[in-house]
Amino acid sequence: MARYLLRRTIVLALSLVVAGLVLFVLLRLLPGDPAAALLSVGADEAQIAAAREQVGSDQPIWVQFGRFLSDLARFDLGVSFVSNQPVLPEIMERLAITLPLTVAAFLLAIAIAVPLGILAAVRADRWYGVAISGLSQLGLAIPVFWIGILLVWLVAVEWRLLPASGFPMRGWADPVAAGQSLILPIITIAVVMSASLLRYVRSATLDVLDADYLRNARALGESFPRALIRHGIRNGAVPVISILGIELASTLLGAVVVERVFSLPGLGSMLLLGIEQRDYPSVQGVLLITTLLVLLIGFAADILQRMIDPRLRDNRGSAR
Amino acid sequence: MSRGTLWVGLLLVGLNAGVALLTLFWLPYDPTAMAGGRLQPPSWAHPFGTDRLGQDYLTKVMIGARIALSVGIGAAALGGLIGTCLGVLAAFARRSADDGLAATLDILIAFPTLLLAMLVVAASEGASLGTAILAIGLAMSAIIARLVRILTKRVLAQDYITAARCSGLGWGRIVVSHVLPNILPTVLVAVALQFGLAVIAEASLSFLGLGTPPPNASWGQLLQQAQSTVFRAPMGVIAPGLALISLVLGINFLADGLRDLLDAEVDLEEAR
Amino acid sequence: MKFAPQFALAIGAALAAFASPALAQSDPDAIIRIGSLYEPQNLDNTAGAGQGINEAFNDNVYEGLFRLTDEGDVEPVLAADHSISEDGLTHRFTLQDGVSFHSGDPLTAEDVKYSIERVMAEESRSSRKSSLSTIESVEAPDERTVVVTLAKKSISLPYNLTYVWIVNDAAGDISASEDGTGPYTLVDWRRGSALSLERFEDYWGDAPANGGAVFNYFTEAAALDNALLTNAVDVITSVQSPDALALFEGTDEFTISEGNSTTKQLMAYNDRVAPFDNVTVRKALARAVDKQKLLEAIWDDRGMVLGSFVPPTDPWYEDLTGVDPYDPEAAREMLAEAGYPDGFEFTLETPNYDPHPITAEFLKSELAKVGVTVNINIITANEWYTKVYQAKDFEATLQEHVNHRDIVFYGNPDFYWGYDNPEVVDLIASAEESDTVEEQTEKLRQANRIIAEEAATNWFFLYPQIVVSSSEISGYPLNGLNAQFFLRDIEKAE
Repeated sequence: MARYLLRRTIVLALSLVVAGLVLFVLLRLLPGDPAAALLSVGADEAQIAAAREQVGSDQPIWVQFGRFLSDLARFDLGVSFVSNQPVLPEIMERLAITLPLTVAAFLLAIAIAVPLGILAAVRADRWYGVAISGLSQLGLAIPVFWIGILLVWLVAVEWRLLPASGFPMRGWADPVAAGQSLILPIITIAVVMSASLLRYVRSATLDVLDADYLRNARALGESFPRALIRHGIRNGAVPVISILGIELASTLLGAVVVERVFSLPGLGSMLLLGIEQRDYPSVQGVLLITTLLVLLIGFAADILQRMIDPRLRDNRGSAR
Repeated sequence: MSRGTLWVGLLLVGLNAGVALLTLFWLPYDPTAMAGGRLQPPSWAHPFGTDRLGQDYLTKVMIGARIALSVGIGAAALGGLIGTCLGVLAAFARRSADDGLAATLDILIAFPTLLLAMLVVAASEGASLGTAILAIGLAMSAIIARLVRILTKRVLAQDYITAARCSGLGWGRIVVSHVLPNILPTVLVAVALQFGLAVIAEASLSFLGLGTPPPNASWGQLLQQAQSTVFRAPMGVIAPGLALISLVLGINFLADGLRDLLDAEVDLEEAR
Repeated sequence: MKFAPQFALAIGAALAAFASPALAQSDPDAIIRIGSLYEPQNLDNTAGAGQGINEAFNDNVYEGLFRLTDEGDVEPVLAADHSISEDGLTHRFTLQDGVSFHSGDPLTAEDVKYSIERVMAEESRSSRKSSLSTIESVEAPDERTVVVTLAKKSISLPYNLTYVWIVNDAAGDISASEDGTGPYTLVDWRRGSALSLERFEDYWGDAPANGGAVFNYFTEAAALDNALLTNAVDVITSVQSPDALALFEGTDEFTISEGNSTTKQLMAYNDRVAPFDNVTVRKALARAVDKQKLLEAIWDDRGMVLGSFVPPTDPWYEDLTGVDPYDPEAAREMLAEAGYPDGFEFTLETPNYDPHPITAEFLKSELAKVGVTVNINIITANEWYTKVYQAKDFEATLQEHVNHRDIVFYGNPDFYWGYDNPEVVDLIASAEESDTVEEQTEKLRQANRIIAEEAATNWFFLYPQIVVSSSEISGYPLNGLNAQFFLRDIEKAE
C-alpha cells in the first residue's frame, strides 16, 4: 500500500507539471493579443506598445514561459493583466462559491441516487422500479442549463420563492442570503447528476444481486436486506466510488454553465471572462487549480477503492 | 423490455433525422425572413410562435435538428476514429510509452471541453459547425481511447493471442483479425452513448456563445436567446429543449438496445 | 481681450431635469441597490478599466474640475473659477475652498497637476489621452491655482477635463483602492459580483440624498431583469431588449424611463479597400438597408434611426436621414453605375454579442435583395480589437460606438475605418481652435454633413437608453452620457 501511495503521488505531481506546460502552450496558440483587453477604441500606437510591455506579450514565448515557471515554483499564480491584482486570492474568493455549490449538489445527488438506484434494482420488476429507471434515462438527456432556465422562470420569477441570480455582496458573512442564492443552482446540478449516478447505482446493485456470495449468504439463512447490507454494499461500492470521482470532477468543470445561468461569481465566470479577455494569468490560474482538484479527486477515489476492496491491494490490477 | 427501448429509440432518432433531412429540401418559412410579429404565441401559421425578430420558430427548431445531428455524427465519427487508433497504439506500445499515454489521456479528460472549444474556435478564426465538431470530437477521442486501450489489453492477455504472437504473427494482423472484431461491439455502444453527450455539449457551447453562428442557430443558441423572454414566450425555451431531449433520449435508448442486442459489455466506468 | 469667468456655480442644479416626482418621505440613509452589466476590470480609469468604472466612480467617488451633466452640458465642480488668456493658450483655474480627499488630505493645486499628468503619462491607457495632447504644461503657482498651457487653442478643454479624475497625489496605485473628493467612498469590491459605496461624511458640497449604493454586476441581461423583478436590486442601468420591458409594464411597482443614449450601431467599411473605397458603392449600401425595420426588430418602437454619426445630444446634431433614404431600387442602379451590376461578396466581422449577430442576419437578407452577398464571421471582442481595430485587416464590421462627441474619429485617417477626406480632417482640426462655441458647432456641422454625403460608414440607429427602477426610488440620471450614473440625488422612499 505504501509503495502504491508513493507511486500514485509521483504520478500526480508529474501530471500537474505536464498539465501546466500544456496549458501554457495552448493558451499562447490563441490568436489575439492580451494587451487588447486593456485598451479601448481611440488608443494610439504608443498606448498599445505600453500595454504590450506591461503584459509581457512583446517578449519571446520562452521568456514568458521561464517567468511563468519561476513564479509557479513560488506558488505565485501571477498578476491579472486586466485587474492588476494577484490571481490566487481571487481564485480563493471564487472557490468559496464554486466548491460549496459543487459539493452540496454532489451530496444531494448521492442522497437521491443511492436509495432510488438500489430500489430500482431490487424492485426492477415492479412498476415503480421501471418508472425510476425511465426517469433517470430522461434526466440524462436534459441539458443542465435548460433546467436552470425553467427553475429561474418558475420558482424565482413567477412564484418569487427564491432569488433568481447573483450572490450577496457580503458573501458567506451573510449566510442566509448566500445559502438561498445557491439553492436553485444546487438543485439544477443535482437533478442531472443524480440521473446519471442512479443508473450506476442501479446496475452495480444488479451485479451484486446476481453474485454468488449473496446467494450463499441467503442460502445460509441470512435475511435478504441483511445480506444486502453486509455483503452487497461493500462490493457494490467499489465501482461506484470511481464513478463518483469522475462525476464530482465533471461537475466541478460543468459548473461553468450553471454559474452563467444564475450569474454566480464563481470560478466558471472567471474562466469565461479570462478567456474572452486573453487574461492568461487568470485562465492559467483557474485551470491549474481545477486540474489540481480533478487529479486530487481521482487520487482520493483510487485510494478509497483500494481500502475497500482487498483484492486490489495486492496486485496492481491488470486492466488499469 | 429491451426490444421496446430499441424501438422507441429508433422512433425518436428517426423522427429527428427525418426532420433534419426534410430541412435540406423544404422549410415552412425562410429562416431569415421576418414572417410575423415579434414573439407571437403559437398559432396555425406559426405552430411554435415567432422569435424576437418575428421569424418563424418552428423553422428554427427544425434547422436545429440538422445542426444537432451533424455535430453528433461528426464528433462521434472523429472521436471514435482517433480514439480507437490511439487506444490500440497505447495497448501495443512499450510499458513506459503506454503509461505516459494513459496519464496524458487522464489529463485530457480533466481538461474542460469548453477551453478546447475556445482554442479550436480561435485557431480557425471564428466559430462554425466545423469547429464545434472538431472540439467535441477531440474531447471525445480521449474517452474512447481510454476504453479501447483497456479492451485491447484484455484481448491481448488471452492465451490464443499469446500463442499467435509466439508464432510470429505481426501486430497489424493481430489488430485486424483478433482485436478489432472483439472490441467493436463495445466501442460501438460507447460511441453511441458519447453521441448523446456530444449533442448536449454542443448545446452548452452554443449557450455560452461558442457554437454555430446564425442563421443556422443550434438549439443551444435558441435557448440562450429565448432565456430573456421566457416569461412572455415560454415556447421559445420549451420547444428547443424538448426537441433536444427527444433526440438525446432516443440515442441513449438506441445505445441501450444495441448493447443488449450485441451483448456488448460496456462497463460502467469505461463507457464514460 | 480677457474672458470673464465663464460660469457661476451650479452644483446640484441638474436636479430639475431628473425624472420622477419628488417623494413624500425619503430615507436619508437608504442604500441604493443598482444592477449593472458593466463590471469595472480594475478601479483606475487610466488602466483600461472599461466603461463600468465611469458608471460607478464618475462624480460619485472622484470629481473633476468640470463635470459633464446628464443633459450634455459642461459645468464646474472643483474649479471655482476659470479664465483664459487673450491668445487662448493659457487657462487659469482657481480651486474650490475646503475640499478634502477621503483620506483626509486637503485638495491642492499639486493634486490637480498630478491628476492631469497621470492621464497624459506614457503608460496611461485612458481613451481620452489623445484629446489632452494639446496640453504643453501644467503648473501649480500656488495652493489654489492651476495654470494649463496649450500648444494650440482648444475650445473643448473644459469638456476634456470632465474625463480627468482629481486624485490625491499621495494615493499611489489606485487600481484596487481610491482616494477622491466625491460624495462617496469605496467600501468593498468583490470581483465578479459587486462594489459598494457609502456616503463620505466630510464631503465639501451638499450631502447626498442617500446613505450609499451597491452596484451588483451581472453577465446576462436576463439575470439583470430578474434581479429587479425579484427585488434584489432597486434600479437597472440599462435594459438590453425591449421584450424584457413587458415584465415591468402595466404595474405601478416599476418606473420605466427612456433617455437619449450616445450609443450608435453601425456597419463600418474599411474605406481603404475595394469596393468600399468607392463612394457610390457605400451610398448604394446605405440605401439598401431598411434601418427603420432593423430598429423595430431590435428595439420595437424605441431608439431612433441615424443618418450620420452624430447623436442629438451633441450640439452639432442635424437630421441627415434624408441623404440616403431607404430605396433598394436606387441602390441596385447605383451598384450597376459603380461597376457592380451583379453585386459583390464581402465578409462582415460580427462581434459575438447582442445585437450584432441579429443585425448581421438582417443585413444578409437585406443586401441579398440588391445582389450583394454577406459572409458573416463571428468574432470575440478581443479578436475585434486585434484584427479590426489594430491590424485593420477587414472588409466591413459591425460595431457600436458609445462615446459622446466622437465625430473626431473621422478627422483621423489612421482610424480603423480609414476614412480619409482632407477637407473633413481640416474642419475637425480647426473646429477645435475656434474662438466661440458657435464657430466650433458650425464647423463640426459641416464636417458631419460631408461624411453623411459620402456615406463614410453605414450608420443604423441610436440605442434608446432605458432605465427601469422600483417606483420607490427617484432622482437617477436618464441619459447616462459616457455611462455615468450620478448617485447623489437618488432618493428612496421609507
